[in-house]
Amino acid sequence: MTPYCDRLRQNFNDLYDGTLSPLVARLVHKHLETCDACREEYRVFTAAVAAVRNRTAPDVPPHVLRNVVENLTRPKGGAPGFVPGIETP
Amino acid sequence: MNGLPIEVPGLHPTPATLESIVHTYGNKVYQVAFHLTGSSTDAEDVLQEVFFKLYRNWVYVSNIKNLEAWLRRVTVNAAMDLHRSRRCRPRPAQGAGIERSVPWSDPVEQKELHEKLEDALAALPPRQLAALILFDHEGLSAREAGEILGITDAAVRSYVFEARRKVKDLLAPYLRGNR
Repeated sequence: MTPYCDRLRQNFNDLYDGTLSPLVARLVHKHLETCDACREEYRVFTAAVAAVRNRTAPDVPPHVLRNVVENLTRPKGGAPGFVPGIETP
Repeated sequence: MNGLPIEVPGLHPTPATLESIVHTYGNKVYQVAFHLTGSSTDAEDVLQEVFFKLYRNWVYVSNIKNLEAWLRRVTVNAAMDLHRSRRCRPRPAQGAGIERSVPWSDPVEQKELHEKLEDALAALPPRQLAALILFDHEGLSAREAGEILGITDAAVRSYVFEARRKVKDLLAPYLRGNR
C-alpha cells in the first residue's frame, strides 16, 4: 500500500455516503479500478456498513405492549392516574 | 385522603389514546431500543420508560407536531443511559440477526459474522453506537441524528466514521474470505 492509497482510503466514508465532490469521487473511482488492495479494502468497508444496515431486531412481543398500557392506565394506589387529596364529586 | 383515582382532563392521555399510541409506535420504539442495548430485556425496560415519560409529560407531548421524532429522541436517550450503566453490554437475545444481503454460502460463517458484529457494536461508546444506529440503520440524516443526540451534524459524522472504522476492523477477517 502506498502513501497515496492511505490518503485515498480516508475518502471511503464520503464516497459511500455520496458526499465527495465530483472531481474527488472520479479520482477515487479511477484509483479503485487499478488498485486491487484498495478495491478489496473498499469492498470490506461497504460489507461492514451493510452488515450494520441490515441488522435485524425482533418484533416486540404483544404482551409487552399490553403490559405497558395496563401499567399506565390501571389505577392502583399511587399509580399515575391517582391524584391524592381530591375528593370525588 | 380518599383512594379513588381522578383523571384530570388533558393531564394524561385517555386509556384509548394511550393504547392507540403504544400500538402504533411501540414496535418501532422497542426495535430502536433493541439495536442500542442489544438485549430484549433492556429494550422492554426502555419501552416502559419511554411511554411512562409520554404519560407523565402528556400536557407537553399532546401539543408537539412530530410525536415519532419525540419518541425516537426519548428512546435513544433512555437506551444510552442504560448502556452507560452497564459494565458489559449483554449479548442480543434470540431474534437478532443480519438479513442475507450478501451471498453467504455457509450458515456457520453467517453466524460467526453476526456474533462478531454484536461484539463490535457492544464495544462502541454509547454516542458512537447511537450515531451509527441512527445514521446507518435508521437512515436519518446527520442533522436529524444530531438533533436527537444534541450534537452538531459534523460531530455525528465524526462518530459514525469512527464507529464504522471500528466495526470494519473487527469484521474484516470474516469478510475477506467471502466474495
